[in-house]
Amino acid sequence: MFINSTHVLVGIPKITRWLGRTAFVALVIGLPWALYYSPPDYQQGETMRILYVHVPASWGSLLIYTGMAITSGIAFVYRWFLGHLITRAFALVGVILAVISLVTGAIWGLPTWGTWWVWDARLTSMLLLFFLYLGYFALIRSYTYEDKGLQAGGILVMVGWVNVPIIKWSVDWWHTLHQPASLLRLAKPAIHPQFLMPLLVMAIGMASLSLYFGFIRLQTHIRERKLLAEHLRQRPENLAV
Amino acid sequence: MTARQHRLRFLIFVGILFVGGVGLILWSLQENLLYFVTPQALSQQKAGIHLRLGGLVQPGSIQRLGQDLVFVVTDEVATVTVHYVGIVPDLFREGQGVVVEGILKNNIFEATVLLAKHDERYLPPTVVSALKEKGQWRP
Repeated sequence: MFINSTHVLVGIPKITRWLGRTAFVALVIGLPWALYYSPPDYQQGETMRILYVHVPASWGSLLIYTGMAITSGIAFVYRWFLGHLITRAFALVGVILAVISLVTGAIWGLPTWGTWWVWDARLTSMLLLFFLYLGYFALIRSYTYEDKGLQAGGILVMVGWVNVPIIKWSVDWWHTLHQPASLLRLAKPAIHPQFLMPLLVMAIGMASLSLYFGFIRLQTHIRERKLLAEHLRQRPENLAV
Repeated sequence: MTARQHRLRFLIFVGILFVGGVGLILWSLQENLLYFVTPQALSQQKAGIHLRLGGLVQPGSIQRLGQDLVFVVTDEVATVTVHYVGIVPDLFREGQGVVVEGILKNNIFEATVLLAKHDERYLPPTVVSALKEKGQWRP
């Protein structure tokens, strides 16, 4: 397949450094703006500031899972093994963002709704996404041979992807306690620019940071496998490992 | 065809079948997946079962008598009177969303849980005051 691991090790480090710098600048601007220099909400007051972390984390966990499904699909059809490595590298970033989304959501829910948790369609499907991430890790580790494990994981990711549109439209298809979409919808945004601007900066910052960590993990995994391959070449008797 | 084309077609075919299957299941479970029923739909539910009711708090309907809270939930088509004793979230106000859990008894909904539901609008207080002054505020 066109892009292989060697290409990645050559081309990615520079991109990764720039992602790190972008993340730093965006968060240095975004966090004070979000936490202090933006107004409170007329209805929710200061507690709405959790939005600036909760929303980018939610978007991130969904987008990363979608990216994982795409790389797994290409890996499956084109026998592109790097796709499996990308899937695994970004899985950890995705699961952490999912946890951040669930936890910040719960913290936000208590003062606003009056409860940490409800089993409505949005929260339940988001929890399911978290379990899919966990299931991916459990599955890939359960195989003796890493390559087979990653292939099985790819199938799980693709099958589980059906949950993503369910999460997105859960607030429209069913009555939920979670609010409907304020931004990603056909109508005009229901969120005022004074909130939207810091939100976008935070989203850029968290997205860059996520990509930064994902690419570092990817490079590490590729180097590990190359070292292992070299080791096995020199010591064929260790192939039983 | 090549092995690759075969894999691609397999993926697409299974994918469509699977998504179709999940869609069918979700569609058939519609009633059961609702987090709450609206006042209009309440009359169609079996009497005496524990369920959740959601809607807007009718302006002017909130009454507090000591520990007891009484108000009316509306979806602009039907109304239900609710009686609740317990902690009330800050966001519970007239004209705002509410979800209550309990049992309908003698046309009064006896609630054991009360949750406030907020809409998707985010506005600074200054903008809200300005709109109210201009008479353009929609609660």
